[in-house]
Amino acid sequence: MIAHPAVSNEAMRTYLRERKAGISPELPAPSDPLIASSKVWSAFLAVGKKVMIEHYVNDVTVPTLHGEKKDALEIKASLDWYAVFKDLSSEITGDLGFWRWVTAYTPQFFDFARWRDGSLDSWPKKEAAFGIMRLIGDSPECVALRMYRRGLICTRGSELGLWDDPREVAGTDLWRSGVLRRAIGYSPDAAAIYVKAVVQLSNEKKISLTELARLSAKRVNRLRPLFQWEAMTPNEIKTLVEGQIHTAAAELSPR
Amino acid sequence: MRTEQRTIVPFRGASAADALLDLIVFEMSIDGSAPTPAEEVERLHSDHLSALALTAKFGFSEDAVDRLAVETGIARSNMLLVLVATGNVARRSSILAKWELDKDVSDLGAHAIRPSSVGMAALGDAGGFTVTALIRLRSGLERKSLRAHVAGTVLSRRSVTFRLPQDNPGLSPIALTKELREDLGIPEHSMTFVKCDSLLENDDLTSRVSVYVDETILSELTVDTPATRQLQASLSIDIVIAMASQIHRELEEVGAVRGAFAELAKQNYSASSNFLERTCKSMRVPVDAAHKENILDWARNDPASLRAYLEHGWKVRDLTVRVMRGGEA
Repeated sequence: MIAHPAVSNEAMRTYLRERKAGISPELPAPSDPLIASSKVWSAFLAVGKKVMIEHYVNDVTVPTLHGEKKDALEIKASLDWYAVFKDLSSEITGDLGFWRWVTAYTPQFFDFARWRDGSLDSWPKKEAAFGIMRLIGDSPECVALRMYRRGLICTRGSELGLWDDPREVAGTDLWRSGVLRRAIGYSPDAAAIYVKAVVQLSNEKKISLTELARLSAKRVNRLRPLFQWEAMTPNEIKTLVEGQIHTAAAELSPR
Repeated sequence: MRTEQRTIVPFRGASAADALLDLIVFEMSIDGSAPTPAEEVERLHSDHLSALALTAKFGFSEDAVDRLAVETGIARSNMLLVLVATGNVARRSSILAKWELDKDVSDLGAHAIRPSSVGMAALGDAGGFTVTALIRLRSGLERKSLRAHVAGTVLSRRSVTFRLPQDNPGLSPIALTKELREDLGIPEHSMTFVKCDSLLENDDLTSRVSVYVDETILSELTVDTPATRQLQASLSIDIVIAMASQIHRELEEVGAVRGAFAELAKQNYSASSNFLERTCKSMRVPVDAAHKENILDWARNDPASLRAYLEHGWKVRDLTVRVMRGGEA
């Protein structure tokens, strides 16, 4: 096991509050400053920074994006974001302290997280966007972790040949209520197949993506006691998930 | 509209499948210590994560598998035993191993799982992880009443969950087992319990607070639903009340008088003072001495009022409405 840098919940909370108050604060002290400043970890920050500059900072039109366009940007960036961290063990990627450290120590990412869940001149409603946790259920709100998870799922979706560009399956609500907070999110295969099927059917049948996503999430989640997505093949998942989404679509468009 | 939450298994033989998986013993050992059977939910210190070894000992008999085939009406060759691991926070998952049940099952023996060596897999997630053994239908069958027929249907599953403490308050409740209930002197059907050690002189208050949740309920808390959020909110309220009441008691013991509690805390006990500030914010009231004083007073003399304000601040009502309307996230 390699030791990894982390920032505590409290230190991050103090840092965020000072930032909000317009004070220019010291960065939150990592739990082990020696590890955090080592070459290996500095290199991670450097690559993460590059990703955010490419996807966020350099694009002058970005600040004007709203709603789902923001999400399309996030999902595209998440592929590269995931690639930065993909070889780390889950002892590290499962530690929110690590994501707090990444968020605080990559200014371009911190700005992105603020803009993504808030705006250029307002702060996100939830401190959880910066990895500050109050309840277990807050973890899907951490932007850095969320992008890692979405990147993993989107990478798998590309491998399965479900899409050329993950922006096809952007959708804040589609992901939040259907994937990131649900058991299906544990299986990248099932999650990718699910988002693709919802988006495709919503386009084909001209049904609102949000409505179809809500109803599909309910139906698919109900299968949870009878199936374990992680133990199924993509074809098995496809049959089952697409069936549920078709039924959901039929409920929404009776004709 | 009401949503049925209970699982009704629409096929025969589920109890035979449960009985088969009950034969599995998950044994855990830390840093080479003598192996002990793991409970459904185990609490693990993060320092021990890399030294944890887990072994699934199957102990299956041919008879038990044959019985399963007869009772489900599914051929042994059409059943798979799968071992999967899922991480709670990063939510990566992986299949650890897979076996066909038509082979000689006594060959299964034991399967060793060393979380730290699985590497990229879900095991070792700093937020805790679960290892699940399950029996699934291998390929689809013709539809027949009371027989599982969709490929992938889980006939039974059994899991062991490892929880790791995190540095956030209320995040790592301890599983309330029979033994623990006896130790704590609380009755058999109790669901949650909060215990505070002395707080005033401590900088890290949350490390002094223990939260206990019934082990079965705790294993469900890893999934995020309105119902689990509601329980967490309710637990958080209990924690705040217990902590405020403990701080009140200790301030009295050091000679503080009513009306001067908050001021004394501010001067001498910064962690407790920060806690009171946070609680004001949680209640959505101004952070001032009067409100801090109120929190301390209410915790001991009128906990119902403190609860009401915290319910307001944490929107417990909205959560409850969602739970009652079918429990969808």
